[in-house]
Amino acid sequence: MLAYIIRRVALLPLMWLAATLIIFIVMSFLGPYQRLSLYLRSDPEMIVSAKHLNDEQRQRIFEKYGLNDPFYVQYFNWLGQVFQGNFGWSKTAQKPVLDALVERLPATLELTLLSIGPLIFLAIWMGVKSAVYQNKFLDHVTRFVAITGYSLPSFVFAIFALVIFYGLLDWLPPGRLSLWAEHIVYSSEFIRYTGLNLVDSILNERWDIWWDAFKHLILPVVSLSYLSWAGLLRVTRSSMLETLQQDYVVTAHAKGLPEKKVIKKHARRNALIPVLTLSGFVIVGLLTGVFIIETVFNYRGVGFWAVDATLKFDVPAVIGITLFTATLIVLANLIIDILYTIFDPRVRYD
Amino acid sequence: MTFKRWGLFALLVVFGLLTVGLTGCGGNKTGTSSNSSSNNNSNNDANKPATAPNTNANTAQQNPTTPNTSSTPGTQTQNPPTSTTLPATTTPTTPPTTPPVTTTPTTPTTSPQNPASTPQPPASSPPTSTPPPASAAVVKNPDTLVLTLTADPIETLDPAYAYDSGSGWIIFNIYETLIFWDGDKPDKFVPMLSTAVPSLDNGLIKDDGKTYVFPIRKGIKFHAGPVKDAQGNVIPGSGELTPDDVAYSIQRLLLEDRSGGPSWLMMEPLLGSSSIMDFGYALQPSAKAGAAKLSEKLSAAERLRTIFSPETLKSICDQVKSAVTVDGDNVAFHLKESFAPFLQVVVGYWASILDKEWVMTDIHNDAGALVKKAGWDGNCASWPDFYDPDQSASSLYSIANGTGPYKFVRWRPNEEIYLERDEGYWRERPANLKYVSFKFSPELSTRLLMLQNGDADIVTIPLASQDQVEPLVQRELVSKYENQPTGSAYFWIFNQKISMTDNPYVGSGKLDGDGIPADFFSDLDVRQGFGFVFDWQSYLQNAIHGEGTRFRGAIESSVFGYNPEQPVFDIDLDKAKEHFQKAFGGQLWDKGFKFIVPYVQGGQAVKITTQIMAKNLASINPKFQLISQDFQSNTISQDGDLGKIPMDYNGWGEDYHDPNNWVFPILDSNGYYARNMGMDPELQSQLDDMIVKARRELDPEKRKETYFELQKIVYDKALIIPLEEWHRRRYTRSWLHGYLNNTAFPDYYFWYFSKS
Repeated sequence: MLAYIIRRVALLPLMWLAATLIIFIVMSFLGPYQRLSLYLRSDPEMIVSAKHLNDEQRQRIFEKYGLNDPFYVQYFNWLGQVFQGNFGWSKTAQKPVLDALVERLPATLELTLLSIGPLIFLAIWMGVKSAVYQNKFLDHVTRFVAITGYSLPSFVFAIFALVIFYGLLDWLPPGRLSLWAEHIVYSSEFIRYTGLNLVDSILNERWDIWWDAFKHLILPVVSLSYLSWAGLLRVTRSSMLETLQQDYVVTAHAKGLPEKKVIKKHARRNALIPVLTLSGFVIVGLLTGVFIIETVFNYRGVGFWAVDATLKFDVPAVIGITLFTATLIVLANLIIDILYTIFDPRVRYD
Repeated sequence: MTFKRWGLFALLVVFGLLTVGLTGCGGNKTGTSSNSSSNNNSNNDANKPATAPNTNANTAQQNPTTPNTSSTPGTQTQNPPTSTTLPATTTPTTPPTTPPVTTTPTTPTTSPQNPASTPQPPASSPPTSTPPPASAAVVKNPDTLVLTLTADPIETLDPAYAYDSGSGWIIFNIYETLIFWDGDKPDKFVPMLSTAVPSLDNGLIKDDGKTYVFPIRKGIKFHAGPVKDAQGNVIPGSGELTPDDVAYSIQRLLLEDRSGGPSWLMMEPLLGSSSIMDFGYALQPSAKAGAAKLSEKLSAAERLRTIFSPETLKSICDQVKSAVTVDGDNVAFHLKESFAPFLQVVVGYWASILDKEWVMTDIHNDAGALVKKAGWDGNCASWPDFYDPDQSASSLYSIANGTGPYKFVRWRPNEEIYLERDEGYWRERPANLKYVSFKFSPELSTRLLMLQNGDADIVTIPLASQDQVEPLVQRELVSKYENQPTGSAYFWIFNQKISMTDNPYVGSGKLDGDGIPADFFSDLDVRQGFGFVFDWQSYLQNAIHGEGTRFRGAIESSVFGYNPEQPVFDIDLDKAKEHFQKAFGGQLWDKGFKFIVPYVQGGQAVKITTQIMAKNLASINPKFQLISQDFQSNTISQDGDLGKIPMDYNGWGEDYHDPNNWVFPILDSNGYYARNMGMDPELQSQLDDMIVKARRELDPEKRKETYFELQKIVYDKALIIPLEEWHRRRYTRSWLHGYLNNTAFPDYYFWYFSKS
């Protein structure tokens, strides 16, 4: 088992290389002119500073950032920098990539961690219930809500939610914190231990800020998890229905086991295997979901930055984010693989 | 669907869900249909080429390097109006959101040291503003001005590095310059850190306009206060404005000279050169040969030290120092030759006055952490180390310490900008609003909701989406300011010497009806012919939706030297025919032509005008073919620079409010546009001479005459087809008062604002 984990983790660097190489190859399709745009700030009202850049100066920028070099040269230059711990300067974050990532990670972490747990457990619980009470009232409600969630694009749901709960009711505002709270959190009187507002506010004993941060998290968390939750629920339900008709479940019933025990021990555990597989995808889905959700709710985490960086050809940032996301996905899949062994004794990695 | 209906619709859906949930009879089919119809037109502004009317920073991401792209205001496809009216929510419902302290605006008290004429806050509200609502909603965040923009306006906080109105906007609210604009007048000045505005009359402009003397105001404190050195002793002269600070700030601006930065604006009048490099080459001509071979990977300081001898480097610094000198309580600027727009250069944010001692010292916070590393110490030995720094290498990149109405508190790039008013501000009153907070949100629907709910006072609204704010204006939640001039204008430029290699625009490249030759536009009749097929009314209505006034060529209408009688081209097909028949000795008329006018996707203005012109051209001669075709914006940018585009759509936004900053880029051989125009050399040198003459002339009447002549040549020689001067709309929450538009401001000046 341990050997398996080590082997999987050892594959990570290889995957990093492949992922970054692909990005550089794709980047090579952009001419230096396209990428120049990142290094020149245009003036908002078309008063472009590039105007005052003559050919010589432009050439200097090309050479300074190696925009004219072939992609493999650019790649090896970049690689050399990375080995020195330098992931480059992100123009969009106006910070070194690593700093920017560390700074934005807590926001996204807060959002995803709050989404993942409830999402998976609620989906499993409701899916099982729904299957057990097939075609009953509870099942109808669950299926209806699930189908709605499954077919609704998350940004549409997010905007709906925002219009109703912010625009109409003014209960749940966008952003991460209210103005007054943000002012306190970033002042010197508030110590930011983790960057997670929910945790920091407790450590600082600022319950008003905790409440404010929590309120700001409700809509993004719900919007982010709704879609994945719905998918997971449907799979759990159908898998559970199928399992309930298996011979061994019938046997279990026949030998007089209590209903609860049949469902929990015999049916649910077997029904969860496909759910587990799907959970891996759900985590990936969440990571892509944050791009949209963070943008709609103006929730400034990694996803928000990723969108910004991509739109502006901020190569170092895009690469940094890609590496980060790829790593997360690999690790998430690894955990799922390990969980298989727990749920399905037939699976062995040794 | 309007927002009102939409909101209702949303409510219905929720209602439906509840009902279904309660009765348990709902099939899931209804659910699916409800969301498939939930329309997708709500939030797709993010990827539109949005040219925003009321902030900076938002076109930045759309067409970054494209001075000559076609994305203009008013070019966007109209989005179906989606959002808007929702029932008003008047009370903030969340309990803990009471802001800290509400400070009432201090009543103006006149202090003895005030200049005679301080910039007056606008007494009367601007003409187009909507009156505040009768039943005023509870003002949210009453002591904070909240702006929600699409993107961070700051590129740097170093005044000598900043050369974009976004950074300039923040800088000019924190730092101050020697003089300032008088209210909404972009070309009248009042004293600021100087106690007088130099003029010939008060004798502060001397030596035939070659010396400008500024008497420096006393007793002004910098926000950060006195600076301590490493031993903990207060450095004398720190924390307070001295003439030395003024001279240092300007010298620093000149010597920092980052490429693509603002230094050239000051360098031209003071040193007669447009870059430190050029200035150095003039002193040491032999250096130029070595420069070309140098690796670009060297740092700027290394380059400088390799290219120039130590003597030259010292000489550059010495000459910079002798250009700005301290004389008792005065600071004198010594110009190379008289330069009429000089005060316009001095008023710009790049000439902000810094605290020398603060800049040159390492600054630590209370906890002992370094918050700012030492910058240039004013010493001639060390200046190359601070020459042309990288964005974040400047010690003032992310920190600011000025004398202005607002203190810098923090800037978290792309997250937040926070300013706090200086309570001890030196003018008659501190700012009315205690804080200024910038937030960023690329989502239009989010921004609109924030505006509607009062969580933002000012938000970015892309031109194409302005309709969506109208309901808020009608409900008097939002004030609208229409037709605000921006100091920018658009025009078509004819390329008289087209570069033909690898050129996708010119067809066959010959005058055979299937293309155009390189010198197609060098024929005056061709240019005039094109001028007369341009249809202004149709352009105004169809391409820019009525937003803008006619640009009359070369000089914007609010700038000195503008000739309101200046003729402009407008549609006259008979005249057009006449000119085309004469062109190329009649050959053109027989053979016809064909070429492509490129536009960027979404650049509707170019597409539409081109199509209108094409139709008019075809109506006078079916062999005349003008084709509009979309290209990638960077391709257009590149091809424009390489001189490949036969007829190019361009826009210019002024750096400073003077005719020199208009005629130079458009007409001077070194100007951004003219250098690719391929004009007849004789005419070009005539224009160059006139531009210099006008710039040197101190007598306004004579100066004006030269500018009138220049404008006349633009029409007579049909060098460009002027289009529109861009006017924009601005929106603020109606409880925000004190909006004042000065074309020369980088953007809002927060000192004027109050909320009630």
